Amino acid sequence: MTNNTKNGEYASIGQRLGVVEEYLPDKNSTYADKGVIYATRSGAIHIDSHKKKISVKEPDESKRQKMKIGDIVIGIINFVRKYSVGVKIYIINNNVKFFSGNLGNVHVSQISRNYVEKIEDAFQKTDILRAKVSKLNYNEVDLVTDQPNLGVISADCSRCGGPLYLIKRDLLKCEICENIEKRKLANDYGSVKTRLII
Amino acid sequence: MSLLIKDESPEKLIGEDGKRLDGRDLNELRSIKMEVGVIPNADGSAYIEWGGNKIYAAVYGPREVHPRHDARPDRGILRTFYRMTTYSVSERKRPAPGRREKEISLVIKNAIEPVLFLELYPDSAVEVYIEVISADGGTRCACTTVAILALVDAGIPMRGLITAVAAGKVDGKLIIDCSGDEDKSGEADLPCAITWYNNQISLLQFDGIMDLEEFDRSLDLIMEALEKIHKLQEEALKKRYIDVRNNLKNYKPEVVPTSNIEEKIDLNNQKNQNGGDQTE
Repeated sequence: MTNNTKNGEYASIGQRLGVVEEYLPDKNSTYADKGVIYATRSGAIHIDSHKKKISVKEPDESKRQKMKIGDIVIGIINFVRKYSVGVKIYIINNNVKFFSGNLGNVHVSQISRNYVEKIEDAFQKTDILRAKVSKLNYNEVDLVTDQPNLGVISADCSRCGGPLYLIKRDLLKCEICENIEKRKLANDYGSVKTRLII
Repeated sequence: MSLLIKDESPEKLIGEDGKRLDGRDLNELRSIKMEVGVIPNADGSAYIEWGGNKIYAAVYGPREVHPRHDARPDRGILRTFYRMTTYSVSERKRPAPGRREKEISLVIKNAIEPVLFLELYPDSAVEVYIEVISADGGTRCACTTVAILALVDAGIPMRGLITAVAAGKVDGKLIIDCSGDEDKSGEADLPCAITWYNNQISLLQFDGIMDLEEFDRSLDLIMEALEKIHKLQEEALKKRYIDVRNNLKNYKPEVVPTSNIEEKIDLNNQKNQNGGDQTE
């Protein structure tokens, strides 16, 4: 059997790429049936000769709604649990993805480099959060905010709903009821300059 | 009543020279033109002109499922919406989805579902919207052919392509790719779709009268025609790939990369942190 697969060449859907003894099939762009690897996407063949892995890459893969480790995401805190918060993700790497249905989770140990005693000292419900993807789970991602540019970028007063302004590091004050609240803030709180792609 | 246009069909559908009404041979297809990536706001899209049929397909997703109880925790779901525009046929069609449209949506969904790897997208939905702008017989086959192209453009992993075409019986003779007139006044109609990864039939409907020997012969006609259409599908996909790759070469990103943003913010942060420490 002749083997015509070369790095960078076009592969159509269902094309035979090789056998499992030659390469490890990539889960998202190839599949193996009875020991033979076939392409499940149309695009360029990519062979990693070091890891012996074969995959098919689309030219416009950045358009897709899937996340990978190291992506910067922006979301809204949906619910606060005892040791973690749930985040609904709306923006991935400055790309606005409404209805993407992506969910994230920030554990209390991953919030800050300093010690956080209670989760309410760092986050409240409806805060807008910038975070980084650290682990991909089955249908959820783990997020971290332990870097200076990560954390809450917009928050409202938990007593009256008014706007909060920065008085000190990680301390906010309400404009209306003068309530003082604690958060884990991103260092550009109140002056976020991010250009979004819709 | 005089305003209504009567669409009468002619008595004889095959002329004395053995050709059909539009001048085709018995085993000749209509002209087919396909294009991929025509709607920029969709995740994937395709357009087909098959004789008098003009059809757009757009794919959105994988995305959140609403209502939430339709979601499956172990796999994604596929939704197909077939719709005919009000001006697509000679008499105005009512815009609400009717019995026929719901049936065709279901038929296309069942034909496409076995080739997709939906288990890679749990708790999410892939939605295919098919709009028939102009209809002239055999729309369910044209829609299946164009919907799979839009799904490829959306990057949904699949085992292989699907192609569909209809055979028929007119004036006692077997024909391929029935037009609107032949569909209405013909003796039989046999739409069929094939999954190419294992050469199995995934859509087969039958309407009319035909004997077993004629049925076998029409399946042979269908297989012959499907291979021609399959080549056109692959050409359209390859053309799209080359277009996108050429655009990417000339493309210069406007947006500041995230790594640069982090550096800028880090600088500000050091100032802030120093200021904070002094006040403390």
